[in-house]
Amino acid sequence: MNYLATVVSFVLFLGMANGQAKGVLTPAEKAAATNCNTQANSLVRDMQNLATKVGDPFALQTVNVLRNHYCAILTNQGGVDKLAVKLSYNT
Amino acid sequence: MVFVNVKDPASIPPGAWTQTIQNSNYVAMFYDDVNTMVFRTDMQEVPLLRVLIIFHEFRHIMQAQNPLPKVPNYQQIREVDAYDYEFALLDKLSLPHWNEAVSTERARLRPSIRNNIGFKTNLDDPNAEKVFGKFPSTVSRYNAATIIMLRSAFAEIDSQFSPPLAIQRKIMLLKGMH
Repeated sequence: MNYLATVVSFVLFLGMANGQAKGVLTPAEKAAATNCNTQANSLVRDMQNLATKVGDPFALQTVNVLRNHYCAILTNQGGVDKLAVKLSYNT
Repeated sequence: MVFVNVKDPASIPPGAWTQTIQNSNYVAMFYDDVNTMVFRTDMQEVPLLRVLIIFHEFRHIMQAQNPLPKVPNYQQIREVDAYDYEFALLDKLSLPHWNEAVSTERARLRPSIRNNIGFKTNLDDPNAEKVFGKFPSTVSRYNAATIIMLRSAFAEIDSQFSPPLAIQRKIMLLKGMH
């Protein structure tokens, strides 16, 4: 199964203690970032709808945190605790 | 906070998320040691289920920010809490056929839980599609059936046992799954 070749995932960084903005995005990275942004925005919208419907304070807080996300490209320049990312743009 | 699109899994720095992305049943996982959530978007999923999974994982983030004293089964206690939170959201949504799905599943599980006998998830639960709609993938169907089973089991355990015993039974249930 050519599973690995088809995987596209998000990694949601909750802290940027070791993450650094590096360099300029290549066209392929920019396309990936755009795709990431589209999907992230869709996810946040769905979460907002649910949180509003149930009126749950923690859920609403979660959505507000997620709204300030960035999309970025993970690069292979560090270990798990020293991830290097190229920041693209926020929403 | 940053979403990172992992374009090429082969280029991912080695670590916990390598396993996450290689596990075909994984949708999301929070790693408190690196304060990071891995969330896969390559897996087709019902939007509501995807959202519930993210809320579940965010519960783990809140737990990491407000840690309890280390006790035996700490990870499982956190897991029970996250599921309880996820199920509270689901119950509040009052989805069509949700109560019917849970009551049917509770009736199936009741004797097993009372007699402490193992049971399997009903992966072909016909109520799953009534509640969540058409599934885009087999994994999605299994996720939905598992949520119905777990919610029903938790409710049945709560009705049969005192709170201290109930949490132990829920921990046993989760240990049996993971």
